[in-house]
Amino acid sequence: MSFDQRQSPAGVHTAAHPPGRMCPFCSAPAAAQFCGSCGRDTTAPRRPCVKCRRMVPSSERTCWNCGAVFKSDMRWKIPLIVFLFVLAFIISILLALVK
Amino acid sequence: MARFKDPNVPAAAFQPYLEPGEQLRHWAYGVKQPSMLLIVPLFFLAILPGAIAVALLTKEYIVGLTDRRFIVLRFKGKSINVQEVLEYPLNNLPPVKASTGGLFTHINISDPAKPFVAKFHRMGMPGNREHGMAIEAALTGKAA
Repeated sequence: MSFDQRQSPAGVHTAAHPPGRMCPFCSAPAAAQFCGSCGRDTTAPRRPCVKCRRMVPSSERTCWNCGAVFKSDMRWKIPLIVFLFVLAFIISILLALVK
Repeated sequence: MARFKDPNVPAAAFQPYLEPGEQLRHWAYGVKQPSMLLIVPLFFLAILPGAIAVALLTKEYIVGLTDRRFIVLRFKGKSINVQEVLEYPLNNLPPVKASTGGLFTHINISDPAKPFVAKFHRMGMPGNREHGMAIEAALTGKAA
């Protein structure tokens, strides 16, 4: 049985969001796209805070709950990648000199 | 080869993100690699650092199709440490392109606010291909 066959017409939510939906940020009931309590878009991309684990919109750089600052993974990945390439070149030059 | 031997492990990761009464129908594991325009020069410069760089720059996802939404979890690690959550209501989907080839199911959601592109290898987890094709069918309206 396909997904479409299992979806009964009565089960399709015609409203923007089904009842019982909570804002992922402030946990207030949020039937609409924008939370009536905190005003945030409840469908926006979000990420958990590393300190307090509360959800924070990805567009915000600090946690609204604990104030923790989000840091990009690229902060350490790019220098590491550059370092690996530099190391590879140094090793290849040393091997060429030894030969 | 498989990232997850037990498909219930990625399925369980969706539980904190489901709404009351929402049911997870299909889920799949996928990745987004950096552009080939970056991969080729990196491998050309040095193979081993290039491979490490590609691995570091590859993003891992599990996606779930529920009766209401298409949910994307970007994660790190074997224990599925969720880094970001994206969701797309099924009754208001942005333009979706999806296709299945011999190895991969590709899903591309062209949402200007939250674009999503990933590919799902058939060996990613048991049933990854079937789940990927069911998600493709639901998102594009094609027959499964």
